[in-house]
Amino acid sequence: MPDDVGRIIVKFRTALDAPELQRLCDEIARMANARLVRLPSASGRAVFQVAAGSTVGALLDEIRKLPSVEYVEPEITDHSARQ
Amino acid sequence: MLPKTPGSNRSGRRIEEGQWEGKRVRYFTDHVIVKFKAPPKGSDRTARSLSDDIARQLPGGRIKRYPRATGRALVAFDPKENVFDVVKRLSSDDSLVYVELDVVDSAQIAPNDTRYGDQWSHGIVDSEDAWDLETGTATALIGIIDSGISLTAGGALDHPDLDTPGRYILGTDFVDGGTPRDLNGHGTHVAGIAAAESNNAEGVVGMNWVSPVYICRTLDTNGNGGSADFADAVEEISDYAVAHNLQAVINYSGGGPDNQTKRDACQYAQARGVLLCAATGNDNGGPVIFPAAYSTMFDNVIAVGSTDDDDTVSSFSNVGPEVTVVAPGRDILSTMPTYAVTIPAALNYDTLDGTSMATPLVTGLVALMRSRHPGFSHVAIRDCLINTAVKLGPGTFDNAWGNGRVSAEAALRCGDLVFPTLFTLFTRFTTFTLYTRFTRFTYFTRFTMWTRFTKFTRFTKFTRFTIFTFFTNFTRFSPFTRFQRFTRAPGDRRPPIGDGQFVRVGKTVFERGELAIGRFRELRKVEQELRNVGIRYLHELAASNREQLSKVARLSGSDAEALVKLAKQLLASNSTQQQ
Repeated sequence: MPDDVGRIIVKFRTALDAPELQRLCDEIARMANARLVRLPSASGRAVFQVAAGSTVGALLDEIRKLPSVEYVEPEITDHSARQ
Repeated sequence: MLPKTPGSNRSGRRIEEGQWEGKRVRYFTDHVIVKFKAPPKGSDRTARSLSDDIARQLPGGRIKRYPRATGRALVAFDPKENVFDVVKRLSSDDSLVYVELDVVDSAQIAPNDTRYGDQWSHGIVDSEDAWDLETGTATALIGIIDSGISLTAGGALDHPDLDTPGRYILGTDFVDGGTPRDLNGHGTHVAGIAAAESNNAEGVVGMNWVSPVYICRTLDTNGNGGSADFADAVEEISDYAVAHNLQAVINYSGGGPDNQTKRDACQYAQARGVLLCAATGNDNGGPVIFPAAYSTMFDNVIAVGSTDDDDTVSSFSNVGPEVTVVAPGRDILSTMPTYAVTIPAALNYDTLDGTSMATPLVTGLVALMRSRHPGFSHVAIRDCLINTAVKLGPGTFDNAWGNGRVSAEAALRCGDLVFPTLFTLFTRFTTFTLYTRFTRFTYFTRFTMWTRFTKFTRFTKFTRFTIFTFFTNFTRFSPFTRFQRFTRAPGDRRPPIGDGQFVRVGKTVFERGELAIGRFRELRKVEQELRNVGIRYLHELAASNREQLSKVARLSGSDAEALVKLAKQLLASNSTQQQ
């Protein structure tokens, strides 16, 4: 897993209303012992901070099973391209 | 000997005015142009070694630009030397065809910024000639996703070269919230290269002087940032562009591994006609980083590598089939925050290296292109950038320099550009001249409005066209028309070929439609397979990487190789036919 920063990105399927999104975020936060750090964007993408000590890989498989989730992946870090 | 008269020094470079060959001209006093004879057959001398010999003859001599295919080079020397004495001294050298002053005769706009003389990159990419054509408009938008911009603690623009009211739009700080204050320095440097205030008698020149700049911060104090922030910033800038009907280009001088979130972001921008210029990375020839590496997947992504001041690829620049173009990226002077930041650099202005620095020059140029051609799609803009780039070696594509080093003036003229061939002596074009092929012996041609497509044959000596010339439907000759032969028979009413976009292959310009795979009998069988993998034109097939083509099109290695070879042959034969 490249550049694991302990965060996961969850992309929800579009056309979910706000209460439904909130419910899903709460569910994922509970399931993953994670904290929502970025509310879902207009594109339906949310970011969660996973609690220290949790294994991100196992969480991804769990979350991926949720029908409203389009994809889930670990957050990665970009770096400025200064020499 | 010519009298030397003191003159202006507008751009910080050494320019004076005086008499040269009976005319009053402005010329550079710190270098001359020399043209080398071809080395004798069997000689082990190279143009480079001959150049070094010439430089050694002069006090403080050095080669400012090594000879290209034409044998022409720029030789710089100690500014205390008299340029006319230098010309006289070198004119007796047997290895030279000629030596002459470098006369300033084309640029109408030479910016007066005090540090402009230290910005070598603009000389290489012909920025002054480009600025004669376009300095930017408010209809184009430059988005910068980086570490922010120089701001006061209260969030106000504070850099003297980045503070035009209304031009620099402060978007979201995805790292800390609030205004995107630069705590690293990288973002301010990048913003200055693309769009510093210019011709303001202060500091540096940006590639684009006018277009609005939208700043988002995703890179933290150490220059690191998350992919979700990058994606959100791309969406924010794209949405702003759409809402304000602006033709946008986003700069991202960063990157890292691949993920779905970044791919989604590129697709989001693509769907809205927004271009993304991204750095290829600085791993000393390592693989291209993402999102730059999406350039082969999305037609709105431009992957930018770096070159040095001798027009070679920088040693640190990454390589691969994803490299779209290269641009100057070493020792680049630009703006720095007015306060101390993480990057250990001087306040206000300093030099940095990296593909990070090459990318915003291209971004600024793309914004100039979008300003000049607001009707062009993002694909047309990218094609123009690619097709006008200067090849830095044999072939049309190289994993190190991609499609070539950007050429600002040529890129801006793309679409109204004409490439005369041998023996075209004088040609005057007007606004709407879109496409013209010349052959040998075209002496004088004048076009007026709406000339779209004209083909001349041999022995055309003087022709004046008026209102409408399209397959020569209507032509008026002047009293000096001597002989003219048209290749198309009267009544030949074949429809226009393509979609109005142009591709340059070597010295030949094609309308892109002419190169559609389906037009070539030999390739019709595989047209659909190639289309499925995004190859629709002959030049795209010819430039394909064989291994990659084999993989994505599920062809055997030998079939892929044969296809690429066939495409090159067809291109070559069609180029010859059009000469």
